[in-house]
Amino acid sequence: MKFPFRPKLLDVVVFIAGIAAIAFVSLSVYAGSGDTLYVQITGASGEWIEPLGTDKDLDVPGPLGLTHVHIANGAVAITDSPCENKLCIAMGAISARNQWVACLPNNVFVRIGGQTSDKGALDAASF
Amino acid sequence: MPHRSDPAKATENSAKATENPARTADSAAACDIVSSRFSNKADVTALLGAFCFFLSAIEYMLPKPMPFMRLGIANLPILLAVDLLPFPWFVTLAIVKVIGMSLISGSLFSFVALFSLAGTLTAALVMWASRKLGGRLISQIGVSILGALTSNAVQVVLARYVVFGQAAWLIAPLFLVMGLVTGTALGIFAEHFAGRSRWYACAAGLAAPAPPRMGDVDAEAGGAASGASLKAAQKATAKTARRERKAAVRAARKQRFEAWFSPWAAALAGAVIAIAFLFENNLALKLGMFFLLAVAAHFAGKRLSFVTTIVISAGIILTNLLIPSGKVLAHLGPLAITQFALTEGIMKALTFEGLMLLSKASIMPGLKLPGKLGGIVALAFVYYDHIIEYKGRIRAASLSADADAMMSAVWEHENLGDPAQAKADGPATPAPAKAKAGNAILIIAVLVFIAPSLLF
Repeated sequence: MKFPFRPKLLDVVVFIAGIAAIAFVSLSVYAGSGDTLYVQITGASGEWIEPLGTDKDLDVPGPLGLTHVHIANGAVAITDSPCENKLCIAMGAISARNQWVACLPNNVFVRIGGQTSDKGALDAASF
Repeated sequence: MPHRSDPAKATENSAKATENPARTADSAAACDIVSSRFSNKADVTALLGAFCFFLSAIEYMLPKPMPFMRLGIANLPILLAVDLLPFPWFVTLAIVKVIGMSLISGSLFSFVALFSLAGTLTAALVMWASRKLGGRLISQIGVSILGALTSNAVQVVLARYVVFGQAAWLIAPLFLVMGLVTGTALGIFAEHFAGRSRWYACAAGLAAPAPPRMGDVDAEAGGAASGASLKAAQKATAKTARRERKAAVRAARKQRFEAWFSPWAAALAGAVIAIAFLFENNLALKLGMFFLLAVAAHFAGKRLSFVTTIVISAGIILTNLLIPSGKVLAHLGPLAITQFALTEGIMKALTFEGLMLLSKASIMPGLKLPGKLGGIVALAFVYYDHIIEYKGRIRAASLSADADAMMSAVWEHENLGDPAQAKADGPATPAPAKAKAGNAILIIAVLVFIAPSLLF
């Protein structure tokens, strides 16, 4: 059987390279997306989700007032809270999955959730 | 792209061409009649540009599974031009294609035009480079695949920053697969066409392949009972009487609109409003502006698809929701609906669709661009009119031969060679009857749109 066209060497190379590029992109997109980590903040009046990769400041309302949550450079910390002992601020910044900081008097709980490609890790994420 | 062809016959024809020197000489002579025009690169660019417009109109009529999906058949003339035009004219063709298509669809002031420009230009550069570097080792097929993949990749990257956000990467593999498939198909057709087209051979300065004998054409036409004629394709947009009635009402609105506004004044007002709309960050104000723009596009007599608008908007909002951000409003299965992501999605959808409406309202077909480039675009439109009026048939079974006949017919129709002349002669646009009142309306419209940013 004759083809109506005769592909040349580079045509075949380009076609195969195209398939390889698509395979690479698909793998990095669909396998890599599991690595996304989220900051989950639970307060008295609701729940917030932010990607850990963003730079953002949030004021989470609680019974005592506003707890200030600071997300930057792939880490999250409570930088100000209207509680007495300021333990939450002392806990410092967290950046790994399933770590948490909390201001118990003001009912604010901050944890890092999401999925990693690490199959052995416990998955306690709820979304 | 449906095309069936008999490869044996194609080889047979080219064999005949080499065996029969007299015939080759005949067609070379036929070439000579118009060959001086081929050295007028502006003219060749305009003709190829016109075919880009035509093919994009055909593409527009074909059903699409998703509004963003395209076959890219409008890139065929650009693919052919890699070997026909010197680099500056090749780039000019790419720009003419984007500008002309944006003028026809009225999307000049929208993101669609931006996507189209970025995709077409980078793809054109890659195609040119691969053809020149690949030399004899690469055919139109490889060039076409590279162009399609580049164009789609660039558009996904733009989509990530303009409309979809982080989640745009999720659709990247799908877009690239589509580019590979359509790029390959288009490349195969371009190879086939370039090997058989007399117009192409003349333009490339090659010995023209012999025109197929009538018997061959009839034999090819035998299997074309199911092929659609060009006329049928043109009528396909207005299949039902109801649609035709709607189109007539729309055309009447368009005529009234054109009596009020001059193309340049409308485009100028549109440009100012586009900036005001783009930078409006208040959701309520933006929504209000969106409805004003929808009303304007309606009175402009432009075709608006409610369903497409909703589908695209929903797509944009949904993709933005995939990366949750902000207060959780609700849970939808595994997806958390978050406030910030939702607002962001709505804003982006409003911007995208609003600019489309604005563009449709303010870009009128009579708009003539200044300069040399404007002249080529104008000339391309004159050719485009001839293509639309072309009475020949385009059959799926003999697509290459029919397309070639059409190109030659349009090319030989009359000498339109001088872009400046075409610009002067082009369809005349009389000054609108109510231009003064129209201008006043435009000024008020601009003030309404920039008022929020002046007041707050």
